[in-house]
Amino acid sequence: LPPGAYQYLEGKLADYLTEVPPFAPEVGGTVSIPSQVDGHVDTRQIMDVGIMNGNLPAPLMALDEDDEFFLTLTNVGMIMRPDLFEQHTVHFHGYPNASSFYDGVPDASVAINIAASFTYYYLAPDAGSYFWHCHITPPEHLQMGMVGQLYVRPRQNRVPVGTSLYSARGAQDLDLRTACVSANDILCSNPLPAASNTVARASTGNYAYNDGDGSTYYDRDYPLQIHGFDPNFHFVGMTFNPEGFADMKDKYFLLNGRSYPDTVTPGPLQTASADGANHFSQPLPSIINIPAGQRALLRISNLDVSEYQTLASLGVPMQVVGYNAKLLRDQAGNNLYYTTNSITLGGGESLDVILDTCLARPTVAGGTTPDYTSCPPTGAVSNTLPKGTYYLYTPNLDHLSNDAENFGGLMTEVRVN
Amino acid sequence: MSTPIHQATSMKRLLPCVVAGAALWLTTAGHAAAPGISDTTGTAGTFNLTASPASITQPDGQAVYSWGYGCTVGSTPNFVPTSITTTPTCTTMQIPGPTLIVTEGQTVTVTLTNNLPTAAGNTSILFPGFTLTSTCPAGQQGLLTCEAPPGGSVTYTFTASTPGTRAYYSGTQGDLQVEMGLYGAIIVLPNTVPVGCAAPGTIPTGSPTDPLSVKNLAAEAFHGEADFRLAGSAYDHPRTCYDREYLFQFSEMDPNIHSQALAQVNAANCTAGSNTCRLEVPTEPYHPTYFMINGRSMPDLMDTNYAVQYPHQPYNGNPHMHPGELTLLRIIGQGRWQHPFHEHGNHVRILARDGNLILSSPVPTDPNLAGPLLFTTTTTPGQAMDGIFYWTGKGLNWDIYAHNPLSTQPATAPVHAACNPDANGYNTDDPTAINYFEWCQDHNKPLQVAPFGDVPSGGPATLPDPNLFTNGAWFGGSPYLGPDATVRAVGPTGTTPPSGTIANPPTSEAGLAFMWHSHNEREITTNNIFPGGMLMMMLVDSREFLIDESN
Repeated sequence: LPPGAYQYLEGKLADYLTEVPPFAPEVGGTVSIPSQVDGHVDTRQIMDVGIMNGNLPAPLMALDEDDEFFLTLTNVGMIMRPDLFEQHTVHFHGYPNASSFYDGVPDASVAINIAASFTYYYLAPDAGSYFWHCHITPPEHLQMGMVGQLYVRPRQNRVPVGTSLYSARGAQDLDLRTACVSANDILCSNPLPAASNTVARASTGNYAYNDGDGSTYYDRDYPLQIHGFDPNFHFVGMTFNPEGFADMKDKYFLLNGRSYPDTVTPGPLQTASADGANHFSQPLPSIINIPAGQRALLRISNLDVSEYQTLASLGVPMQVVGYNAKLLRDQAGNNLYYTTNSITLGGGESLDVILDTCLARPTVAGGTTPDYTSCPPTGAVSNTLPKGTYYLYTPNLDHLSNDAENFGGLMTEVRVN
Repeated sequence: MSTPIHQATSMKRLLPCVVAGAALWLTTAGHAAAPGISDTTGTAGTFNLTASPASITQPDGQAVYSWGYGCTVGSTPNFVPTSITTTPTCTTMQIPGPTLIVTEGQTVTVTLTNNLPTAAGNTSILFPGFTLTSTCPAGQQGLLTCEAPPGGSVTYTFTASTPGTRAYYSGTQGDLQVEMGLYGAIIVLPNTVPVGCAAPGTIPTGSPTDPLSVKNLAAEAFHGEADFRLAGSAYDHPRTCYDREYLFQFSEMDPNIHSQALAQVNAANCTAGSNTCRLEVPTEPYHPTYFMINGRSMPDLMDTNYAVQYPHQPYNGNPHMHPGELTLLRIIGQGRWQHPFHEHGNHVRILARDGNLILSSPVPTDPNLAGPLLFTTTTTPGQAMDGIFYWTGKGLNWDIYAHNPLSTQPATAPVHAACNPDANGYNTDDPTAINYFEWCQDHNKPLQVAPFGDVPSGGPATLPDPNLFTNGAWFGGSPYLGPDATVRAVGPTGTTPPSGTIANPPTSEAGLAFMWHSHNEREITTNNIFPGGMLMMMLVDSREFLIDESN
């Protein structure tokens, strides 16, 4: 093994064993999402109107594998429904080998009363695109918007630039805390690749999983959370009337809490709250910016509570590399990625899609694996997708609307520039 | 308040009471297994079934007129697994229909008698995934398969060619007949026991060199648990060994269709020469209000198999397991909708779809599985899947087992609360240990900043004052697994005031409860009442707690 391959791992584990935050700086770094988030999700806020932090989606949580994660939830009650004594919780959806105590299911643990705070404790689990939501009366609290995004970035991002990813992945098997071997564990999802390779940690970008072959490389990542609102249900709840569940019928279809064209409005949206002042309500636009020739990872989740939702890509092929926060790889180490033009998710599902704007990749030095960091022309012919605006939209055509208004709903733009 | 409170709202506000009521029912609740029948005649694989009407019950008190398959009057069903000792039943009508359990290579013969109301017309059964070898009598061939006329019968014969879980359901006017309840499951067991798996009934000795699945069975046997498996493996493949199994069939029900069917049955004139002996029940628009697993809604779902209060809904959904046990989930979509079934606690490795094992290559001896790992297993109408789930608590960074030298061991076991990691990091060298299958990398790592009973201090978290929170009916009383750790940490009542929970008591079970439910969340309601519908609690129980699936 190259010396760095194991050291990075040891150092990382030592971090949490001795509780020494923070963590090694990211190599390369992802520019898009942190900058989107930092400007307008104020983590000092507490829930002030009715959804988590008064934001839809709720605050985004991006962790690195092996991080210790403390999350304190305070229940401040609701200005608009002072008659309700609703508890709230956080369910970290998909956490492998979860403890029921921190799983957020009120029946199986404790639920947080108004005026109380509770701190959840997790060790960031296996890399992947998860999500989180309240688990009190889920058909109501999820419909009302208590949903958020959560993903975990792999150890592979911390491999020193130039170090073999295959060796670094192999080093993880030397420690029981990070090992993943198909023969030993039927729930191991990212065994060593079937064949060795010469791919090294790139100087740019990041990886979706501990793939060991660089195949989940991306330049930018975008979380996209699908959601639906039934305005009748919300109105009924707001006006002190009884809510029905069976006839729930969503009329607004949301990506990151917004419907088209708001999905392509830069910056946060704000709305007037019960205190008469404007507050940020929907922090995340869903504009997918990809420099021509680069790759974007879409972390797509669906938290609609009534229907399956389909999202299609017009013009840029979708390569599905992960499903339900797990790398798509068989026990022999073969990648089971597939290319498609649409994906369909039920409530409580997530997947990882790569949009690649390069039509033909060169291979890495000394190997046959594609080099995802480079997209040179072939002779005088460019290999990049033509610059311009492409679309992500739902082919559930009745979901391309904002209630009675046509031309809206579950749609956003992919801007290749 | 002048406005009458609607049922849904009032039930929601009364939720703690509702859940407490469910918990009371559960004091005698048994666990689940995958019960069924191997024949009705004394000849394995030969079944005499009847389709007939009856009412099924739902937890909101409604009785819903339905049609279902059952055992023909006078038949003598053999029930499996035989370790289910509660008096099993197979009435003339049940939903889902009897689970037919046969062995790979067996000839299966199903004779169906049509005792539906005459106005309902013909009925039939489809067995997708099998090739019928029976011939159809003249005049009985329907659109999709051979049919039984009112009062008549039809016989289907096929070879159970490959192992796996599959659906069966009516092939006649399915939009109505499947909605009314004419569906069930057929399980084909492999005819070999793969290397590393143990056949049911063979009690392994638990040598340290045994495969893990075998050691798990040795631990079960040491603690006096019966073996409730149907077979040693799900398929003829060594990576499909399992230690427990559960069958879940998902369906939904629009009660308006059922009441219209009943009204038309009652109004039909089936005397000779009448032209009104027929049903014209509209099945669209479709507004289901009941969302069921195994024909029951929560909380009825978690009651025992064959409970007398549900004579036409014999199968439950109440999974339990110990840490590390490979638990086989047989999941079928019946009805007409998809349901995103979310398993809290861990992922599921999908082994197969509709009885087709998913391997890395088409070679049947390929050692590697290729099915996905899912935390939400979407059910699709007519489609079955098999998957393996387990829970170990690996990677939490605190000792959820919380055993120490003070831990109470079973009387016959050596005192042993150390953690000796095997090649995978689990304590599996001694199947009699109270902390068998503990994840050793976190052994003795405290959770709490402060001391917690005799659990030491120095951890990352501060646990809350339980009086400030609402405690769930399935909260075992502490963050820890099992009564030993819970009682040592917080005393005999757990942290649940005033005297502990009934569904999962601190002193006897104190398991870790996980909700398994549809994540199209409106489906965890029963006729607009929350909680209900497609929802059950799965419990991971400490090794010393005896999981009894005999009822």
